[in-house]
Amino acid sequence: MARAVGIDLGTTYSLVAVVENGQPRVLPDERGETRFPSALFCGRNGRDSLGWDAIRRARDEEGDLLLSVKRFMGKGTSWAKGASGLKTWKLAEGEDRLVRFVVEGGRALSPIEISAKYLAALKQRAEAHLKEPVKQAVITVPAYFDDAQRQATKDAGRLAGLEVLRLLAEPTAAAVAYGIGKPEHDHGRYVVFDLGGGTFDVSVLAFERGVFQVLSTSGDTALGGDDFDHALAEQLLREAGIQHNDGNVPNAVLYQARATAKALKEQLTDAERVTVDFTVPGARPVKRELTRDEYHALIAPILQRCMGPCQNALKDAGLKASELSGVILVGGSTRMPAVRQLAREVFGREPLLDAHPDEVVAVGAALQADLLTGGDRDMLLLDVTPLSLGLETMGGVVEKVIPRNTAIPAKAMATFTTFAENQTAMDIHVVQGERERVQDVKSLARFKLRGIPPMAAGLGRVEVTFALDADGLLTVTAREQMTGATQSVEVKPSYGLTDEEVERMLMDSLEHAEADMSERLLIEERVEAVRIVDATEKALEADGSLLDPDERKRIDDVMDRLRTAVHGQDRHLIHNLVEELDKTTADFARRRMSRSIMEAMKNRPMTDFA
Amino acid sequence: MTACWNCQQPTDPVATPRCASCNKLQPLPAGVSHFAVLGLPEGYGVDVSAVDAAYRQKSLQVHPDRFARAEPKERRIAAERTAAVNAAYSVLKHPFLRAAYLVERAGVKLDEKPDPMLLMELMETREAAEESDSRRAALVEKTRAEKETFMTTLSAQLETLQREGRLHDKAAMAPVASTLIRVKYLGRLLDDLMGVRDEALTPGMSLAH
Repeated sequence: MARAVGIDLGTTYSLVAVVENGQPRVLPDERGETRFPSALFCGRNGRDSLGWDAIRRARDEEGDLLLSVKRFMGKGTSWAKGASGLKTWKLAEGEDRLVRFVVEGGRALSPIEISAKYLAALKQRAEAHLKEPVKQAVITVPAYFDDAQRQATKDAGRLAGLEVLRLLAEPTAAAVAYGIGKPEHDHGRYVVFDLGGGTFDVSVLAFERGVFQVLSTSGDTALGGDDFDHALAEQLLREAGIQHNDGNVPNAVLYQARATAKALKEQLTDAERVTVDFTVPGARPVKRELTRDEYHALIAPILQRCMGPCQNALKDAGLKASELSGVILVGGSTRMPAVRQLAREVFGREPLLDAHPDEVVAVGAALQADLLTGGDRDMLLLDVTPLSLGLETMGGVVEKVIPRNTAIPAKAMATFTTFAENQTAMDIHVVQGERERVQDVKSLARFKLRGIPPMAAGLGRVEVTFALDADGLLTVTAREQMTGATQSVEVKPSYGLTDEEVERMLMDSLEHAEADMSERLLIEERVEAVRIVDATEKALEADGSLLDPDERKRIDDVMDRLRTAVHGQDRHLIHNLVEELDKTTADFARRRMSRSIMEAMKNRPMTDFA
Repeated sequence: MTACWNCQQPTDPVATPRCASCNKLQPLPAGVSHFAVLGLPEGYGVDVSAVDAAYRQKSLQVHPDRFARAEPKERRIAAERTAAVNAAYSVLKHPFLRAAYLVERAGVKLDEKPDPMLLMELMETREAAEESDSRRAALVEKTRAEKETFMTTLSAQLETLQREGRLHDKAAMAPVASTLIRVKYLGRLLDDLMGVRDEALTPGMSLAH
């Protein structure tokens, strides 16, 4: 049976892990690096690159580098326009429902499509490792992701050709990876403090011998290491006298500022002071010292935003910090001394550290993927919905139907009465959030329920059912009680893609996949052809004397045809000529072999043969 | 007893979620109480750790992840049953919601308006809190203590009725309902005084459109 993988689709880095022989393993790339930068580079030559290649090319080439697109998942363009940080991207015009970035060649890409590329790359990595197709995955999402953000992630999975077995909350995944197989940690109440590149989650869990029960969760889906980097990058640009908000600064300068800020942050994890060297042609060079204290002062206002969610999570779990068994730190940003200090202060105890805070989320996802595909594992994850779900009622007031921190899957109902004489339709507006006014919460979808039989105001009763599945995704149905039958509803998601759009993109990508695949095979054949031509040339140079003129002519002839074919598009022709050359030179290769053996024997002292 | 949807053998789906003959998960019949869903005795005085333990045990029996490779129909049943377990758990683990549930089961309606005197009292407290921070702090403490007192009254009332076997007696449960409403309004006042209600989602999120 084909294996399912666990994917941590991160803001800055993504990882893939799989369970092999009962053991989870994070899969590395060919250089041994497990982290895959969540980065897309669209170059002037029309060629796109992903991951480390994207980062490298952005340093040397003109083009668009897209980073941290996870922040825009499930968001509208008006939100994107108001987002903080350096603007290294251009937004496409269009409906507010879906953010699209304009890249080289006039294309417009949504964060969903870009995330799908990352997922496809990780799927390919897993396939190369497992030597079998990978079709199913558990993908992690920040615990505090709302319905639109979760749906966007699931759509990205589908576009990448993956069946998403489960959307798993990142802190829950980390807790599993941390608590499984550790008898000393299999019982108690733990806090997972997860500060990644772009999101912050804090979850309180009860561990009870393989059952991981989330008691509460809170967070901020726009708070992470990126914000620290943006703050320092903006400071560097200011000191260099560069006005970065007028849109005239080349992207390369902004990338450089961001990369410099990130590097300085990482150095300050171990060093008390570092040397800043930020030099941009035509601008004032910034060369100075930066102390850890100065850096901490700069990021303190951002870091403070972690406090509220921590307190809310404890309050909702009905626990005091002193009642906890431990605090688990997850996410790359928890390497920072200032972040550890904050966790220490909020929870009044020394946090527990894992050797791989970047990898535990992927490991937890792999364990859950294994469980869902029949792995023999005594484990159960019980999660909650992070945000309350409700409906807009008269006067723009939100009526909560499922409160936050309700265990999922969940089902709840609300009943509404008609307010006008002979009212035959009812608008249903589904929202998510904690505030009481509809303008302060996130709109998820709008429906229109038709076919209510005409009657006096207040007599028509509509029952609205909210069903939350184990992924935390919501389905809403409405039923008029008088007629009994479920009425036809038109659902219009407020954010993200409609089902039809996902289908269409899927069809497009399948066509492209075929084109991409033959392109890749052609490149592979060319590489092989060039390698064999080179090797043959070297052999002819060294041992050409072993051939008679006829033999030599035959080999030269095939080589010439192959050299021409390499510049063409016909990979089958290249393949056939490579085989022909192999055959034509077979006898030559044999003769070379025996000559080299003779040489070797000639040069050895006689005693070796004794 | 109902017949198994798969093998038609008689089953008791509340006590034993899986069919004894073919092992298929059975749907929960309509109208089963939260207590029965978790396999707990009906009553107010439930040990919180017993509720937690029952929740975990039932989840292990019916959670969809335990049926990941089962046929769609069984997976659907698992999701439905788990939703029922989750709903029962969210009500029974909180003393207040547990009490409200018992009152409702006795046939007493809870959504009636509290008496005008109570509303007047609450309004005056809210206004007084505006005077100064120290006044507000004092009122928070006073309201908290008052809420505790009414919670104690609530527990005492319910425990007595439970001993007397009158939890389903609508007339006997009516005074419990008025205590409940009192606790509810005091809780709301306390939240208002401490400014925790209507809290912003998160500072970084602008969700208004």
